Amino acid sequence: MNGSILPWLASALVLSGALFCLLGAIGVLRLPDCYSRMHAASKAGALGAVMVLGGVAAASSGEVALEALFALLVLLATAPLAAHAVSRAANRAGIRPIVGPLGNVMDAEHAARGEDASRTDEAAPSEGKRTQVGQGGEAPGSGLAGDGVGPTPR
Amino acid sequence: MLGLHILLAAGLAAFANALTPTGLAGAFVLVYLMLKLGAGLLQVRRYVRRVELAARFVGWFVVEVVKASLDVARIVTARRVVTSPAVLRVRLRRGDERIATLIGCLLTLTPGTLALDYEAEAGELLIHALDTDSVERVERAVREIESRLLAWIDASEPVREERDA
Repeated sequence: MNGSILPWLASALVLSGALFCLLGAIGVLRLPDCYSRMHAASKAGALGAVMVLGGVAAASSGEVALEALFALLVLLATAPLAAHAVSRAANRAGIRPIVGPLGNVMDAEHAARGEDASRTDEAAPSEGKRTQVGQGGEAPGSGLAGDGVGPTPR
Repeated sequence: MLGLHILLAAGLAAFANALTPTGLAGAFVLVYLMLKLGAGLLQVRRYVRRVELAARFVGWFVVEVVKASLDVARIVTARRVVTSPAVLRVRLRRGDERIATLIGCLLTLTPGTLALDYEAEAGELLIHALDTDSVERVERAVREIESRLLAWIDASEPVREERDA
């Protein structure tokens, strides 16, 4: 009975794994910015690879199951770390994420800091009127910077 | 204790001439049931509880990973890719960097969230949400992972909660 189920299971796992990998790749192509693309690469890509590994374990009737399990664990540990590393690098390089109505909390903070700096500049005695624009003032989607949306800690 | 559990499972599987991955998994469950039955007698109640929480966490996490992938699939296969991303800050309940790393990794594999950065001094995690219209929803997702993970981790350390409280 095992002999009849395992090949079907292996085929189903490898095929669906390949499909998820394809969806991840389509996501990397279609999503608008680096940060959104990392969602597709880390989620769909990782699940696809895990399913292919499961399919390999099933296709070999469990002979390489241990190797597949180790590969699976390594993959599950590295996929989110890689996505995190890429998005953090983008963040440090100053690449602004495209954001929706909720905005970007970092832009809001930069804008607040910029406003504070300009207020202290105005308060200080100076020869002419100076304006200092906050770093995140022109970022897309940062329109709600001062609307109280942002820090959510409790 | 986990080592002993695996050793007993391997021994049982070898004894039953079923030293295959499926046989090992079956023997592991069987040994767990035996430990659960004799938990009071063998003083392994805490370990049994930890195994249960781990199994519950892994099961929940597998479902979440599949949901996350389906979520991405739904967005990228639509005729027009319409998302409303956001970058948010969520304060973690426990500021330990090791736990924050774990939460960040797990969060990246669950639907709609990606860990961007962690500020250890403030104990805040910077999160990129792919498609969200409320801060509460993202915060709820983080809280769920956090509470499940901490329940598992703290299962063997009953003193910890008292210290935190």
